[in-house]
Amino acid sequence: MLKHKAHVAANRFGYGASIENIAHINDSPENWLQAQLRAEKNKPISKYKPESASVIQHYHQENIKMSRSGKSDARKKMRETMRQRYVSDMQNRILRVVESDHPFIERLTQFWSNHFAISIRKGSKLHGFVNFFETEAIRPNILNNFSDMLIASTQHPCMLFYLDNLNSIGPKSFAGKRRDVGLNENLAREILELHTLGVQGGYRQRDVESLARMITGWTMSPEGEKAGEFSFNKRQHEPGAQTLLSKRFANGGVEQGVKALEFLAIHPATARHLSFKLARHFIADDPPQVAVDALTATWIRTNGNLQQVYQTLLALPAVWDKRFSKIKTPYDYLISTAKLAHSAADKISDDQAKFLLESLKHFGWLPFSASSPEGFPDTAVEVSGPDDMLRRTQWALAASGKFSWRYPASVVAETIFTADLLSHNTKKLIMASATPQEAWVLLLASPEFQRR
Amino acid sequence: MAKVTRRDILRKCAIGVTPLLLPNVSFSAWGANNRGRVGNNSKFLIFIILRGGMDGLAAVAPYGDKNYQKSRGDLALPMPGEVGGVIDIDGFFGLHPAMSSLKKSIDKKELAVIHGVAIPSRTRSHFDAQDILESGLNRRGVSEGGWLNRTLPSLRGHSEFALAISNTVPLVLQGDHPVRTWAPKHYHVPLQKLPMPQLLQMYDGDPVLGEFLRQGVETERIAKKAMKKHRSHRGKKQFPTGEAARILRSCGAIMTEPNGPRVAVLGTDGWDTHAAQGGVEGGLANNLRHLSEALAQLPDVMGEHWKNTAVVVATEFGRTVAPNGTGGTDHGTGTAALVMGGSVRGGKVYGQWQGLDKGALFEGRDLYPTMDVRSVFKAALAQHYGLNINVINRDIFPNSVSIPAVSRLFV
Repeated sequence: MLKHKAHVAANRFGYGASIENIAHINDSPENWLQAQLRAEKNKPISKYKPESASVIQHYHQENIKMSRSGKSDARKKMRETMRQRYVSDMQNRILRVVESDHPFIERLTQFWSNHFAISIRKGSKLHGFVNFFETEAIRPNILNNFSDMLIASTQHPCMLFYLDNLNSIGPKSFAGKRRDVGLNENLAREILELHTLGVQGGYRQRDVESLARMITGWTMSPEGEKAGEFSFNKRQHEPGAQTLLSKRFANGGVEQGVKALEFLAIHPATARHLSFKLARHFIADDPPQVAVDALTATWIRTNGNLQQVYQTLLALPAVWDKRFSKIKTPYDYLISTAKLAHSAADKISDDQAKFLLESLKHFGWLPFSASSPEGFPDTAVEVSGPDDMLRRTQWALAASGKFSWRYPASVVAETIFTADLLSHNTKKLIMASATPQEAWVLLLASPEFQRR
Repeated sequence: MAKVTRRDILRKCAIGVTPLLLPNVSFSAWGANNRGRVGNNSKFLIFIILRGGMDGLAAVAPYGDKNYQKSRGDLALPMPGEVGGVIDIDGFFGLHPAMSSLKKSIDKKELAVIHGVAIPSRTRSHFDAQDILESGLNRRGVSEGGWLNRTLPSLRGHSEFALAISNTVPLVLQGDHPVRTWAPKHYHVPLQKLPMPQLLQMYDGDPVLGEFLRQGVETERIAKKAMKKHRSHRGKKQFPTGEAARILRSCGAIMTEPNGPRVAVLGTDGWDTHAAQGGVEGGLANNLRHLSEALAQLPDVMGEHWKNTAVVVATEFGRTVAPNGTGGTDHGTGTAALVMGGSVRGGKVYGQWQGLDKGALFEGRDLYPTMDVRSVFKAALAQHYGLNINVINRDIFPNSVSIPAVSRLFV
C-alpha cells in the first residue's frame, strides 16, 4: 500500500503511482521529486542550431515555390505532410511522457508549455512545428529564470506566427515609412495579459502599444545563415524610446524588447499572477493564500528563479494536504492510465500511442489545440461536466480493452491508492466485477482515479 | 485573483442539482406540464457566443457611411449590386457577401441586426470581456455565475434545464440552476456496453461527479433519440455539411425532444482576426459563411417551433475600424449582435449609428459603443418570454436599471 506522502508526490506532481515504481516512491517521496529536478538540471545543454530552423525553412521555400506555380495539389500535399508530422510528433510526445521516469519534469513542461499556449487552430502550417516550440523554448528552460523562458518563447518562430508578430512593423521604421504597413498588437497584449502581469496587472492600452512597438522587427529569417530562426529585422523596428508601466526603455534594437521582457519577468504583478497559477495547478482550484504569498515572495526575492520557486512549492504544508480536490484534465487522465499499463517489460506500443492521441481528440484535448492563447484550463469547473463524465466512463471501457494489464485491477487499486483514499464502495465494486476487464473499467472510471 | 470568484461554482452545481438526485421524482419541482411532450407555448432560446471578438463592421457593413471605404481600407467590401457586394438590408447597412444564406431571413424579416453594441465595461482583453458578456454584470470579478443560469428559474414553464453544447459548462450557464452538457462524440461507445449500475453505485458518494455522470447519461439518451428522429424526418431535405451547421442541427433536434432542454448555449471560436482576415474572401468570410449556413437551416430544424424560437448571437467586443499593419484588425469595442427567430421584428438594423468619422470613434480607433449588449438580452427575455422587466433587473442583470431593453425587437 502507498504511504500518504508518496501518494501526494506521485499524483500531485506526477501521473500517479504504479506497481513498478511504488517501492521507490514510498522510500522517500521528497527525494524522488528532488532527484528528478537534479537530473534535469545536470542534463547537458545543446547549443546547436534549433532543429526547427531547417524544417521551417524548407516549408517556407516550398511555400514560395507553390505560390509562384499556383498549384493547389502541391499545397494540399504540403498540408498533408505537415499533418502527418504533427501526428508522429504527438505520438512520440505521448510515448516520451508515458515512458519517462521523471513525471514531475513532464508535469512542469506541460504546465509551462500550456502557459505559453500556441495552437494548431491558427493554421495548418503550425502542425509541423508545434512540437519544436516545446522542445526548444519551454523544456530547456523549466529550471531556469522565468525571463529565459519568456524570451525564448516570445522569440520562437511558432509564437511569432501564432500571435501575429512576424509582420508587425513599426510605422516610423524604414519599412513602415515606405509601405502602408504597421503594428500588430496581438503578441504584446497576450504577453502582458497572459504570459506575465495578468489581466489585473495594472497595464493599459498605451502599454500594450508600447510593448508592441518594442518587439517590432522580431521576426524570422526567410533565408541565409539563420534561415528559419528568430531574427531581428532592424528595418522593421520602430525607432525611439518607449515607456512601459512608467519605465523608459531607450532604443537599442533587439535589446529594447529583451529588456522589456526581463523587466516584466520579475515584476511583482507577474510574480503574483504566476505564483497563483502554479498554486492553482499543483495544490487546489482555490489555493490557500499563504501558499500563493510564499511563492510570490520567492519569485520576487530570486528574480523569478523557477528552481527556487519549485523548492518553495515543495516545502509548503498545503502541498502535502491529504485532500485531492483537483479533477484530472482529460490529458492527465489518459496519461495516468497509460502509465498504469506501461512497464519496463511491457512498453506501450505505437498503436497504443495512436489510440491515446485519437482519444485526446475525442475529449477536445489534442495537444497544442487550445481554442485561445489562454491555453487549456485546469480547474474542476472548466474540465468536468455531464458530457465530460460520460466520456470518461466510455473511454475507460475503450482503454480497458486496448491495453494489456499485467495485474488484476483489484491488486492495482490496493497498491496505487493509500488505504484511506480508496473508498470501501469502489473497492467492493471492483472486487465484485463480472470480468477482469470490467474491473479495469471500474478502476479507471472510479472517482478516486479522476482526482489528483 | 479573479478566478477565485468561481471557486464555489462546483459546490453550487452540486447543491443546485440536488432535486435531480432522486430519479423519478426529479422533475416534479419543475412542474408537470412539460413532461412527455413539447407544450404548445414552450419557447426556445439559443444563445451563440462568437469567441475572439467578431468584426461587426465586416459582418454588417455600414456601406452607406461616407467614411466607410476610406476608414476600412483594404477591408472595405464592394457596394450592393457589385461583384461580391454586400447584401443590402436597409440602404445603409449590408450583410457580408459570405452571409448570403441569411438573405432569406432578412427578406422574411426574421433576422434583426443590432449595431454598435458592447459589453458594459471597456476592456480589450478577450477573457475579461467574455466573462462580462457571460456574467451579465457590470464588470469582471464580481460574479459567481452567468446571466442565463440566473434566468432559468423564470423559465420553468418552458425549460426544465439548460444545455451547453460542450463537454463542460460555460460561464453564462454556470450557477445554481440545472444545466447539462452534451457534445457530439468522435467515436461511439454504446451506453448499454457500460456497466452503468456499477458505475452509478460507485459514484453514489460523489455529489459532484456522480451527478454529472447521471446527467451525462440522461442527456446522451435524449440526444440519441433526437438524432434518430431527425434523420428519419429530414427525408430528402438537404442540410449544410459544415461542422457548425451539424452541431447547431443536433442542438435544435435535442431541444425539440419532449424531455429536451428549451434553452441552449453554443460557443464558436476563430473570430480573433489579427492578421490577413480577408475581405470578400478569406478566413473571416469563411467563418461568416459557416455561421450563416448554420443559422439559416434553423427554421427547418425547429419546424413548428420556429415561431417560438429566438436565437441571439453575440461576441465579446468588436475590432478596430482601420486595418492593422498585417491585414487584420486588433481588439476593439462596438460591434454587431444578431437576433433571429420566428417572432423577431427583423429585416432591419437597430441601434444608434455614430459614424466612422475619426472623431466619432471610441478612443480614435473603435466603433463607438452606443448600446449595452444586455439591452439585446433583456429584449429577448422581456419580449420573447414575457418576463417582467423588474424581475430581469433585479435577479438577472442587477445594477442595470438604466439599461433599457431594445424596444419592440419581437412581435
